[in-house]
Amino acid sequence: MHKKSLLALSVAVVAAVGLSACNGGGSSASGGGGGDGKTLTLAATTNEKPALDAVVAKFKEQNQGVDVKYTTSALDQYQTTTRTQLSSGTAPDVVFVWPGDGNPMATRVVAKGGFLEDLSSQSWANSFPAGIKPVTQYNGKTYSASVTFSGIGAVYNMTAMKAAGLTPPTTWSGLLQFCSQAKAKGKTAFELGAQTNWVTQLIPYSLTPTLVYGPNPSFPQDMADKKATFSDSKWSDALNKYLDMQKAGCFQANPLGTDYNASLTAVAKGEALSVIQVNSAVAAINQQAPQGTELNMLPVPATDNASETRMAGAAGSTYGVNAKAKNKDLAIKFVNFLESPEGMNLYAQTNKALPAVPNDSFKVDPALATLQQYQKDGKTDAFMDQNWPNARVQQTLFQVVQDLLAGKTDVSSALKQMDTAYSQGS
Amino acid sequence: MSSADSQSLAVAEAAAPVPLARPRGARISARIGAVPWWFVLPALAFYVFVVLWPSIEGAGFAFTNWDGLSATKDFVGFAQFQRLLTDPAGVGAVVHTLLIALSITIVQNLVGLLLALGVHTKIKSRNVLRVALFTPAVITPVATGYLWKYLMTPDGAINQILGFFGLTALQHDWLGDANIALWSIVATVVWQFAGYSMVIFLAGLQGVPEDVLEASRLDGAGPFRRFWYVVRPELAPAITINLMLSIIGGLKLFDQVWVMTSGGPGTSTDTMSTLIYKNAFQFGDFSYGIAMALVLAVFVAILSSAQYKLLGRQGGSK
Repeated sequence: MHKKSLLALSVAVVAAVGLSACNGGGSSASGGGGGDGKTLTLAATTNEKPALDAVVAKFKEQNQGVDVKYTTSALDQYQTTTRTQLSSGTAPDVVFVWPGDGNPMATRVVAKGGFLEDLSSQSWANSFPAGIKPVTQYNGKTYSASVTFSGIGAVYNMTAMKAAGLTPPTTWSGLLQFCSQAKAKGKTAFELGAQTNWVTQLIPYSLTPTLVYGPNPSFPQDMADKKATFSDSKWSDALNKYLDMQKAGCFQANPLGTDYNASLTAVAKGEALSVIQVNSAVAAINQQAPQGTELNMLPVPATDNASETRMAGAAGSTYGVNAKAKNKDLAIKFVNFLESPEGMNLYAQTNKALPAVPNDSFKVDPALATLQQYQKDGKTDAFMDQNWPNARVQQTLFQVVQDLLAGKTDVSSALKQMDTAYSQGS
Repeated sequence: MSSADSQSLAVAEAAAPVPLARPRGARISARIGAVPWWFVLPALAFYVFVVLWPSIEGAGFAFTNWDGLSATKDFVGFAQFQRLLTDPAGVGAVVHTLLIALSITIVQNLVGLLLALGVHTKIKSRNVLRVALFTPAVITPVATGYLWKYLMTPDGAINQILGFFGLTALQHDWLGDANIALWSIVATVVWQFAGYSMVIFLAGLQGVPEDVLEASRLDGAGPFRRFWYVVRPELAPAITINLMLSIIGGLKLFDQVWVMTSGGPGTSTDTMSTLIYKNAFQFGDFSYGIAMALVLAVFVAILSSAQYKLLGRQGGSK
C-alpha cells in the first residue's frame, strides 16, 4: 500500500511537471514584446544591423515611449530560426524577408503560408517601380515592403587601376583584353571568392541581364509557363563566358579556395583590380582600403555592343509584418516609416545602397552613381532567383558553378541540373 | 563528437579495466539492486517527455510532405525514402560520409594509440605533453573549423611553411581542390580528436599490470610482442569505446564540414548531415531532410550496436 501511494505520487508529480511545462511553452509563445502596444520586436540578418541601428534610433526619436527590440543573426541561422518561429507563432512583429521567390524566407513563400500581413492598403504599396512591385506581392496583394535597391556589378579599385594604367572595359572583347593586361601587370583582373557559395552566382547574374533577360523580358514567365528552359536559353552563353573568363586568366589562381572576405581584401589592398559583387561590397572594401581609395561600381559587359549592356538590379532589404504580430499597429507604423523618403534614404545611405523608390533628396555615393543611372533608365533586371519557384534552383546554381570551375562538369550538364531543380516547382 | 570532451572523464573511467572482485563493491551492488525500480520513473518520464516523444513526433514528418512552414501537410507514406534511393546527391553524400567515418576511425585511433604509448612513459614532460595533446579536443569544432580554414587558404600558413622549406610541390588549394578537400577535413578532425582518443587509451594503459610486462620482458619478448600479447588485450575496452565514439562522430560529422567547405566545391564534401541541413533548412524540403536524418539515425544505431557486440565479444575472449 505504501509503495503504491509513492508510485501514484511520483506519477502525479511527473504529470504536473509535464503539464506545467506545456503551459510554459504556451505562454512563452506569446513572446516578443508582449502586445503592450509600445514594444516592437524585429528580426533581420546581420548585414542589416548598421541600417537598423540608424532607422530604429530615428523611429524611437519620433515616437517617444516606444521601444524597438531587434535581433540580427547570420543568414542561415536567421532563415532557420525565423521559419520555426513563424510556424510556432513566436516570430517577432516585423521580419526581414527576401523579395519574390526562390528562398526559404522569400515574400511569396512566407505569404503563401499565411504568415505575412496584407499591406496592400498602405499608401506606399503602389509606389514601387515596375521592377520591384511584383516581388513584394503574392496573388496580387502586397505582403512586403522593399526599402532598398541593390545591384550587381564590377567594383573597381580605381586607384589601383590608375596606377596600373588601365581603364574599366565596356565590351566583352575589351573585358578579356583587360584580364590579360592586368595579368601582365601582375594583378588579378577580377578576384573571385567562389569558396563562398552565394558568390558563385554573381557573374552569371551580371551577364544574363544583357544576354537573356534584357533581350527577352518575358523569359521568367516563359519558364513558369514551361515554354523556356535554362538549357535552351542564352544561359549557356553566360556560363560559357564564365569559363572563358577563367581560361583568360581573369581570376586569381585558386578561386575555389578563396572566400568572400579574402576576395574583398585583395581588392582593398590593390592586389586585384576589381571584384564582381553586390553594392554592399563597396562599403566593405572601403573599410579595409587605405584612406582615399577610389571605388566605382560598373556594369559587366557581355557583348561587344556597349549600348546593350544591362545590370542586375532589384529590390534589396525588404520587410514584412508578422500576421500574428502582438503589436500589429506599431509594426505597420514602423514599416510605413521605412517606406517614407526619410526612412528609406536613411536606411539606404547607411547600407550603401539606393532607395527602393528613387527620390531627389537621396545623396548617392559616387561609387554607385552608374547603378542609379541604370535604375533610372530602366536598364536593370531583377535578381534571377527572385522569380524561381523554389530555393533548390539557386542552391543548384551555386553547386554547378563550383563544379564548372573545378572542371567536374560541363555547361550542358550544369544547366540540365538547374532545369531539374526548377521543374520541382514550389 | 562535439560533446565528447565533456564526457572524457566518465568515458576514461569506463575504459579502464574493471578491477578484480572486491567484497566492498559487491555490497554496493547488492544495495543498488535493492532500490525500488520505480525510483527511475521521474527521470524516465522526463527523458520520454524531452527526448523520446519529440523525436518520435519529429520522425513522423518523414512520412509527410511538410515544408517546415505551412500549416498543412499530407501523408505521403514512404515517398520521401524512395526519393533518397534515386537522389544522386544522396548517394554521393552517403559515400562521403562512409569515407570520412572510416578514415577518421582508423587514423584518429592509430594516432591516439601512438600518442598514448608515447606519453605513457617516465619522461619528465609527460604531463605537459598529455595536456597539450588533449587541448584541441576541448575547443569547439566550429572554432577549429574556422582556424583550419584560415590555415588552409591558398596563401595560408600551411602553404607558406611548405614554401619556406622549399616544398612548393606539396602546396595545394587544400579546401578548393575537389580531390583533396574531403581529406583536408578528415585531417582537421583527426588533429582535434586524436588527443581525445589518447586519453581513453591512457586510461586503459593505467590498468596494464607492470609485473606481467616485466615478466614478459624477462622472457625475452620485444616491444611489439609485449604490446600485442600483454598490452593490447588489456586495452580491449578502451579500443571498443574509442572505435565506437569515432565512428559515430564520423558518421554524424557536420560542424567542421559546414564551416570549412559547406559541402563544396560542388558536392565533393557533402555528407549526410550537410545534406540533411540543406534540404530541411535551405531548400524548404523539411520532410525529405527528416527522412534522411531518420535513415542516418537507424544506420548509426545498427552500425554502433553491431560494432559494440563484435568488439565486446573479442574483449571478453581476450
